[in-house]
Amino acid sequence: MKDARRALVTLAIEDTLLKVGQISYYEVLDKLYENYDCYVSDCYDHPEYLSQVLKELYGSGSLAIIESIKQYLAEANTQEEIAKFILKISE
Amino acid sequence: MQERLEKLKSQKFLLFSLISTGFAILVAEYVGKKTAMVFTNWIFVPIPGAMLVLSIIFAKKHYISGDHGKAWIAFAIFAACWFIAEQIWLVEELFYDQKTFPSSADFFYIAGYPAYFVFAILYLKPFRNSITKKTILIASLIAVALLVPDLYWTLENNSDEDQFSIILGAIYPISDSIVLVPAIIGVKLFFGGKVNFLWVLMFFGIMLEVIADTGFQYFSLDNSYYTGHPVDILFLWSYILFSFGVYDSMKIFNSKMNFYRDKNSLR
Repeated sequence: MKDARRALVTLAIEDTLLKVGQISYYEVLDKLYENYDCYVSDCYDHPEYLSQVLKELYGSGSLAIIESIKQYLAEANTQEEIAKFILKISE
Repeated sequence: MQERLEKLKSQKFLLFSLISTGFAILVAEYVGKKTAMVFTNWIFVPIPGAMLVLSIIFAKKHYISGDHGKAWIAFAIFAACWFIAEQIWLVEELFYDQKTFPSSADFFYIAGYPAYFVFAILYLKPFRNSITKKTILIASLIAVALLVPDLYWTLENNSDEDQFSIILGAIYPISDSIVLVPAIIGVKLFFGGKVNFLWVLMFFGIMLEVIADTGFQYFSLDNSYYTGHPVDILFLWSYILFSFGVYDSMKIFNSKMNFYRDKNSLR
């Protein structure tokens, strides 16, 4: 079940970033690996890494991307782990 | 640390480019009007050309993907329009000795504005959740505050120019004001982020366009404008700022993309 939630979160992040642009997506992947030695799927356990990378790139605009990820996960928000992820990424 | 050093180097190069182009035009102007005219016409080949080349390279890197991919294509179209306009100006003035305003170059200058506007809108689109009505209102008010005196100056000018030239001249400040709105929003939106530098450069580039277009209108309607006039320095500077904006974005989004293109390596 945890794997399914992780996959859902990964999909939400990937889909949102790819809507911004492929180049932005690759840059985020690059920064995640460079700064935290992690991949997108690891952001399920460490959403703060993603928000930090987005902030580094887009400043206050990063909040809009986080909002889009939250909207993507809105339907699954009832699940405790997803709700926790949303809470953590919003901090 | 390495990143900061590179940024500092790039900023020093930007400053050097601004000072050297400004100084070169002033020297040409000092030598004589004819020299200034020839030199300025030719310098408008490599500088807008650099902006066009950089934007094509960057647009190609995006593979038309996502909003930003489309945005950079629109920017390349904008760069192409203005580059063509500059070359028409050069050919008409240097080779056909024709009046450069109004001319067919104006069609391409004006066509560049919608392309730039589309670029800005597409770039900001993924961040629309963070753009408040208040921000749009403030940005619009700033743009209108700049437009009103500019437009008044253009339309009230007592010159022997025909109605068409005056109306054509008025299109520029209006277009400048429209594209200024997303630039102001961009500066505020990306505050604190790496892409903020692009938007700061875009903002100052457009501000220079506003001042340069006002100056151009004033001196054109006054019949004292000639190619190589110091007001042209501002046009060149705006091209330089736009080019450095694109260059800075290329540096930011320069991840090891080829490595990641093979998605299997991420699994």
